Amino acid sequence: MKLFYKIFLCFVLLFGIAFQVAGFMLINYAYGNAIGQEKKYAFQEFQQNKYILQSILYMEPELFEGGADSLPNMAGKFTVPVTIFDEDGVCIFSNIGAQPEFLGFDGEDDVQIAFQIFREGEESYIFVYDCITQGDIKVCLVTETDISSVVNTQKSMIKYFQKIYVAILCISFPVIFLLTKVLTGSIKKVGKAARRIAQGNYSERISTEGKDEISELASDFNQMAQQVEEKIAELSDVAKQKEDFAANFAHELKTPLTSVIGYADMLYRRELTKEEVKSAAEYILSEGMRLESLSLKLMDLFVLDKQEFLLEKMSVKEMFENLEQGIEPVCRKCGTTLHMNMDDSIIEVDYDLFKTMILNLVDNAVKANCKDVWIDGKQERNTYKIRIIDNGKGIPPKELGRITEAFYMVDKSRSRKQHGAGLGMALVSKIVKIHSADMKIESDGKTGTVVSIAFRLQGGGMDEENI
Amino acid sequence: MKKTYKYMFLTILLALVFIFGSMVGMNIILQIRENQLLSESGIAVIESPVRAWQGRADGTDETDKNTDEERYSLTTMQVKDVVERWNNRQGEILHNPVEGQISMMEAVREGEEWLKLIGMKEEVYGTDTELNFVRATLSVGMQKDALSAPLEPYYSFWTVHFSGSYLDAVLCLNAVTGRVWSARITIYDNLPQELPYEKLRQFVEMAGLQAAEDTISVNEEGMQAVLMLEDNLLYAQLKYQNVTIEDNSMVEYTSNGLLHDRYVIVSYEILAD
Repeated sequence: MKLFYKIFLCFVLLFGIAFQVAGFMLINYAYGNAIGQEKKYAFQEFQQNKYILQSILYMEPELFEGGADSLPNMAGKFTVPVTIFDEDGVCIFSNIGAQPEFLGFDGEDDVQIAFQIFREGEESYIFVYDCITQGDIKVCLVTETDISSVVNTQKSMIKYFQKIYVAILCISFPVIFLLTKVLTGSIKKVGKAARRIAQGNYSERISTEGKDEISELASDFNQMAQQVEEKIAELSDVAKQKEDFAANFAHELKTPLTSVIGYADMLYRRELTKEEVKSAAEYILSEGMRLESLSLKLMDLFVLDKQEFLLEKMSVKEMFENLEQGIEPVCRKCGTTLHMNMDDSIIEVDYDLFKTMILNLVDNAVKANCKDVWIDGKQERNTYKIRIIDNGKGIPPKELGRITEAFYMVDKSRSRKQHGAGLGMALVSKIVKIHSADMKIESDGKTGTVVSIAFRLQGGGMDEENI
Repeated sequence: MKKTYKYMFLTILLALVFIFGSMVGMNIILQIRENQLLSESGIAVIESPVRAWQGRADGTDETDKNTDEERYSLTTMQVKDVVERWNNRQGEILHNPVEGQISMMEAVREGEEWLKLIGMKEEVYGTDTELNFVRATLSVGMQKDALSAPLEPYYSFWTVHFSGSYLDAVLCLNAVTGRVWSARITIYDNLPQELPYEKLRQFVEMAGLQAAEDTISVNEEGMQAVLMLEDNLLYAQLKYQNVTIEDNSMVEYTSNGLLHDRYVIVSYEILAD
């Protein structure tokens, strides 16, 4: 059942119950009060007639000895219908229709009287009973006070109340209906917005007027929609990147394979000269090495994605003293001079990854035909900055934003010649991220490149215990 | 769409069930309550609006009651309070006599004695005149505010009604002192022609009070006489009213069913200043 119907029914139920309960309490109170007042009035009437009877007995003590026949006009002396009993309980006079029973009440106590409320059909009465002593005479008096009008008034009040109840409900039905519609209208808006988002309109939002719970819901919904939109955009980017990666990978794979297959086919089908065979073999070897480099680097990239790395505190100076042995041959091979100047500090690294990163950066610098490579490390406030500077060809500024994309090469032909796959900087970027460091690449595209990597230091300084 | 209509129908049906069900439920509960109220019976304790006499302030032994000295007497301030309350009453609460208040028999006797002494019995009208006791009731005056505690017994009055062939008298006697402090006498025969102001002093003495001065003030019309009482807090008033029934007006009957077209009302009152 829809919320609208549930709220509507709840309103009707609550209203009905509240109205009826309030009405019942009011009518019950009024009824009880009215009966209480009638009882007091009946007691006063009894007292009045008791004095009348006493007065009669005072004037004519032997009046009741002659029986009922000797009591003419007795009814006219009293203000209400009465019954008079003698001390033996024999009725001397009565003009009351019904006779209630007052068993077990002797009327000895002056402050106590017996009473009974009696109903017969549409008529209701209060009977009051007590015994009276006047001189030596003892009689018992019963008075009847008619309370039918009070009872009928209450009945009329109940009927009137029910009419008012139905009338008010008829008036309030449309009001309750509208109120429910207003309440559920806001919730419907949220539902409509959710459906539009589900259909692909991720920029859909709901207006958040007011400060009630629905506005809070709308505000939360908007936040959720915002998060969903951003996540979708992020996933779209990732999917695009994966698509691009796959496309680039396929292209990088296809290109050398095409050449390899081509030369292999040529070797297989044709009779070539020794120089041609050597040239073909050289090409096949070169492309094969490139493919090998590509697959190794891809492996590294995948491993970096899947593995958890435990960083250890290591001395920068010690690390670079070890690394120098690996870097020096690479530089010497290309005629590049290595300059190293590292301030000592302790940074948290995975040594193997760190080594891969530095080697890749130096390799890139060397491949850029630089004469010199400078590696320096300096502590700056709460970071340790390592810079790899070369004076090679540099990277055009407009290409700097894409340099860490997988398979991206600024100069494809030069890279392929040097067996590059365009994955080196992507690897470096991942390793920097694993170390929670920051990398910055600066180049004017002509005079060289500066790669700065800032490692965060724990406690803002060198750990003297580990030096 | 069918489901929508189904729920709408169900909602309306349930709403109607709630509405009429609650009405029926309330009616049933009220009927049960009514049956409870209208079948109530038992013993009621009637609380007296006045309490028993606490005794004289000077601690006199009550066995002195057989002496000529008054058994119960009130101060002038008490009398003033009592008279003010009685004369400004908005209703009366009937009750049984409590200790310290005179009985009905005593009230009737005092009333008869008063009428005799004031000159309203057979000595004045002859032996054929009968003046009989009709009814006596003991009550205390009711004010606008409900009683928070029982009053002193001297706030009650016996209202004693006498009736005869040519005379009706309604006397108000203080329930503790037994004195007549108010009387209204309607005379149908041997009508007095003027205000019997000389009886005012006698009325004051018989009320157990003292006049402050000897002079009785009579108004210009000769219909009203006033006598100031001691301490000047109270005064006694005597009024004379000569009523003539015009043609086509209501005609006054006595309790014996005799027709009178002319009568006199003489009223005695103690009033607060």
